Amino acid sequence: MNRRSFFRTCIPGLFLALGITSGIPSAWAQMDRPVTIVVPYAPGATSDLLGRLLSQQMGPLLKRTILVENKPGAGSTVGASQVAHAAPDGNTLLLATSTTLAINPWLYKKLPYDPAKDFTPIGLVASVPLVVIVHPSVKAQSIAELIALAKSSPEPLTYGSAGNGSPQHLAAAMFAAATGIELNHIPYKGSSPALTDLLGEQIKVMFIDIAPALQYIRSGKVRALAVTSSQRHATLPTVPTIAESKAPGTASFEAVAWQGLVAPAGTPAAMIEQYNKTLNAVLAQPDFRKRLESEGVEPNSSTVEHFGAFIKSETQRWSGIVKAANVTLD
Amino acid sequence: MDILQNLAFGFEHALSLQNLLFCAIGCVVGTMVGMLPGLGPMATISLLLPMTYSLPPVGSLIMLAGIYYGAQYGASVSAITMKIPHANSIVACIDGYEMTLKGKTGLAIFTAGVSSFIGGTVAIVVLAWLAPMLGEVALLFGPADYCALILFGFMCMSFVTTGSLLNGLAMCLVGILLGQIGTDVISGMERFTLNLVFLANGAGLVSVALGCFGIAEIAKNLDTRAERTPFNGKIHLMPTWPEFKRIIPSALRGSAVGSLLGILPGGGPVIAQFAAYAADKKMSKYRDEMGKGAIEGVAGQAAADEAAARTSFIPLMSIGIPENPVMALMMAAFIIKGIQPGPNMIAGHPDLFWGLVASMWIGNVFLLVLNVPLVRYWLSVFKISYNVLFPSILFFCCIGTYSVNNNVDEVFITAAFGLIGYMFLRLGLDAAPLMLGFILGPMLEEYFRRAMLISRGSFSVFIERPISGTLVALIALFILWQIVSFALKASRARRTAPRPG
Amino acid sequence: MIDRNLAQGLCLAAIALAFGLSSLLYPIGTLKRAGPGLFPLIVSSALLVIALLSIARSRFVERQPFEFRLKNIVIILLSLSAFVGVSKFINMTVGIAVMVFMSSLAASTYSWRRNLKISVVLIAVAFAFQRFFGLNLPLY
Repeated sequence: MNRRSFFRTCIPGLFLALGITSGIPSAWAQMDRPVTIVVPYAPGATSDLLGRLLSQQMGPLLKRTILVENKPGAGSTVGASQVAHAAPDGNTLLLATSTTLAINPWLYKKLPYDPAKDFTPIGLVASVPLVVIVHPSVKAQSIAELIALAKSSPEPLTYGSAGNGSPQHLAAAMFAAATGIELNHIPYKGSSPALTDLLGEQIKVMFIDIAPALQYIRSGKVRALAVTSSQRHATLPTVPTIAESKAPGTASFEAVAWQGLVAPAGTPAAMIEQYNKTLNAVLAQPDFRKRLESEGVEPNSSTVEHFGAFIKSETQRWSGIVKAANVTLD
Repeated sequence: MDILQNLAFGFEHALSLQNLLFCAIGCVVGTMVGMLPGLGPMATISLLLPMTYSLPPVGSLIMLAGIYYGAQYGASVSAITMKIPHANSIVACIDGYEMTLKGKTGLAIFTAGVSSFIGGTVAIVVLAWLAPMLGEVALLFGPADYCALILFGFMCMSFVTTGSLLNGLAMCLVGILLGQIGTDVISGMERFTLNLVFLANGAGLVSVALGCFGIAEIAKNLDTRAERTPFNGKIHLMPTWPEFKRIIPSALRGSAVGSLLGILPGGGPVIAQFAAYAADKKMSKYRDEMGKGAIEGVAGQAAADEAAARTSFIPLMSIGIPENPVMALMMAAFIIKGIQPGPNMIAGHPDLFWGLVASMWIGNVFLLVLNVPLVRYWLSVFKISYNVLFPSILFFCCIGTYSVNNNVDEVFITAAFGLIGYMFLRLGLDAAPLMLGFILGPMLEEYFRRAMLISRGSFSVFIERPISGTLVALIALFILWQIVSFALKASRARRTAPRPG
Repeated sequence: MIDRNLAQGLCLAAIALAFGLSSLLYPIGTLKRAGPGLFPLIVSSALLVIALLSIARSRFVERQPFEFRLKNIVIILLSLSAFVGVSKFINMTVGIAVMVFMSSLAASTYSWRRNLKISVVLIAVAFAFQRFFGLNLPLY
C-alpha cells in the first residue's frame, strides 16, 4: 500500500527529529499550551528585548513556555488590536507601551481597540528613557547647537522614529514645539530600521531608546547629545539631560516611555494576579535588574491596581502633550 | 593566512560532538519545516527560541542558523514536488515542477541539493573573507536606492515569467495591489479590508502561496482527469555527466548573484532567485529550454537562494543590522545570550563567529548527505494515487494557513486566493510574478513614501543618488531595448509576410 | 467562444478599477506627505494602462478559447469553507473528516473506505503537530 509507505517513512522521520529536539529541554513535556507575549514592535527594539527577557525568566517560574510574537506596524496598533480581539484565556498577553495605552487614543481618529475597555492591566515592567543621537557628520556637539543648526538650515532636519505616535516621535515633536524649531519626521517600523538609516546618514537625528543605540554611541558611529529623562543615565554618565542644556523652552523637558504587560479584558482575575506576582518576582531579581539597566532600561514594578491608576493618569498627561505639540498623523 | 587559521579555529569549535549534533538537528528540523507549507523558518525559530534559553550560546545559534538555511532547502522540495512555494522558492515552481511532470523529480531535487551546496560554499568563502568589509555596503543604500533595487527585481522577473512581458508586469502589479490589503503601516488606516476583521492584518503570504499555487494546481489537475500515473520507474537520481556539466556553470552564476543580493536588506534574497534565473535565461547555452523543465532553471535559483541565505548574516554579524524578519529574530537570539551582534562581535566572540561560519559549511555537507537517502522518500509522494494525495495537500493547506495566526477564518482567505489563482491559471496569467509583487509591494511602498518624505516630494532623488541612478538607468535601457527589439521584430515580420495582391 | 486574450485584459482592468476607485476613498495626500491612498492609486493606474494595452492587443492576435470549469474548484472551495465552519462550531477533528469526504467528490472515483482511512491518518498527523510542534490546533 503506497500511501502507507509514505506515511510510514515520512512521519517517523518527523517524530525522530522532533524527539531529538524535544529531548533537550524539558520545556515540551510540561507544556500544555504556550503563552504568547505579543510585542507590537519589530525584533531588535527595546520592547522586543524586554519581551524576550521576560519570556526567558517568567517561563520557568510559571512552568510554561512563553513565546514572543512580533506584530509591528502602525504605532503598535496592529499588535494591540490582535491582542484586544484575542480570547481572554490568559494565553495571549501584550507588552504594551505608553504609546499603545496612553498616546494612541489622542492620535487616531478610529483606533481598532479601546485602551480602557479592551485590556486588563497586569503590571508595569520598565521605564525607558530616550537619548538624542545624531550622525557624526552633523555639526552639532550639544542640544543648543542642534537647535541653532535647525534654525539656520534651509531645509528642516530629518529625524527618524519607531513609527507614528511612538514615544520617539512624540519626544521629538515635544522638543520641536518647546524650542520652536521645525523638524521633518520620517516614521519607520521600529527603532532598528531607523537606526540603520541614521548610520547610513539617510536621516540626521533620532530620539531613540538607549538599548539599541548604545554600542554605536560607544564606538562613535553616532553622537549622543542628551538624554530625555530628568536625570543623567547610568549607562551614559557623560551625556547631559536636555534640561541641562539651558536652551530656551527646555527647562522642565522630560519624555520617558514606559512598558507594561496587559491581557485581553475578561481574563480571569486569578490568572492576572498570578502573572503580576511572577512578573514582580522576576523584576525583583538583582541579576535581572542589572541586565535591564545595562541595556538602558529602568525596571519598574507595580501592583495590578497601581498600574491601572498609572495608565489613567498617563492618558490624561499625554492628552495635554499631544495637543500642545500639535502632533498629527499624516 | 589569518583566515585559514581562523577557519581552522572555527572548525575546531563546530566539529565538537555537541555542536555537530546541534547542527544536524537544525538542518533536519529546518528541512522538514521548509517542506511543510505554512510553517517556514520564521515560525519555527520563534517556536524554538524559548527552548534554546538553556543551551550554550554557540550550540543554540548553530542550531537556529541550521533551521534557517535548512528550511531554504526544504522549501525547494515542496516547490518541486507539489508546486507549493515559500517566499524563497517561487522560481523552483517553474522549471522544478516542470521536471516533476516529466518524471524527473529525483534529478530536480538532487540538482537543487548539489546547487545549494555550491551556493552555500561560495557564500561561506565570501562570508569568511569579506564579512567585515561588506557589512558597510548595506549602509550605502537609502530608501530611494531600495526602491530602484525592487524595481530592478521586477525587471528580472519579466525574464522569469513564462507568458508575455506585458502579462508578467500586470501580474506583478496585481500582486502589489493585493499586498496593499490590510493596515497601512504609516498612517494606521485599514485599506481594502471590506471591514473584515481577519483582513485587518492583511492577507498572509502563506494564504497567497497556498491558494494561487497549491489549490489552483489541484483544481487544474482534477479538471484534466489525467490521473498522474503513480511513479514506478527507476529513480533517476544522480545526474549523468553531461547533465552535471550543465549544473556547474549555472550554479556558479547563481552563487555569485545570490551572494551579492543576500547582503542587501529589503528583499535582496527574494530578488536573488529571480535574478539568478534571469541570468541563466540570458547567458545559458540551454536558454531555450528554460521554463520547460531545464536543469539550469533549478540549479541557478537553488544556488542563489542558498548563497543569499548565508550572506544575509553579514549585515547582522558585522554591523549589527538585521536585514529581514528571520535575521531580526536571530539577532534577538544573540542578544538573549548576552552577545551584541555588531562590529565588536568578531573580535569579542571569535569562537562564535568562526564556529558559526564553519558550522554553516558542515551544515551544507550535512544537507547534501541527508538529501541523497531521503530523495527516495520524497519520491514516494508520487506513488500515492492523486485521489489520496489531493485531500492531504488540502489538509496541509488548512493547517498551514491556520497556524500562522491560530485563526481558522484565514482559511477563507486561502480559499479566496485559490479561486483567484485558478481563474488566473485558466486565463493563462502566471502567478509567480504575483508572488514577487505581493512580497516586495509593501516594501516598495514603504521605501517610496520614505524617499519622498526625505526628499520633500522631489523625484530627482532617484536619479541623483549614484546607486539608484545606476539602477534606474539600467531599467530604462532595458525598457528601451525591449521596445526597439519589438519594433525590429514587427518590421521584419511585415517584410517577410506575403504581400496581398 | 470567449477570447482568452480579451478576457485577460478585461479581468486586469476590473482589478485595476476595483482597487483604483476604492483607493480614492482614502486620503491621497501630496507627494511630499503621501496619504494611504496615493500608492495604490499609482499602481492601479499603471495596471489599468497595461490592461487597456492588452485589450487592444487582443484585437490583433489570434483568438484563443477560454475554458473555465466550475465544478472542481467549487467543490474544493466548499470543502475548505466546511472545514472552517465545522472547526469553529464543533471541532477541527470533525472538520478534517468533513473536508476529506467533501473534497473527494471531485476525485475521479469515490470510496468512503478510502476517505475514512485518509481522515484517520490526517487526524493522527494533526495530533502529532499539536503535541510535538506545539501548534495550537482546536482538535477537540
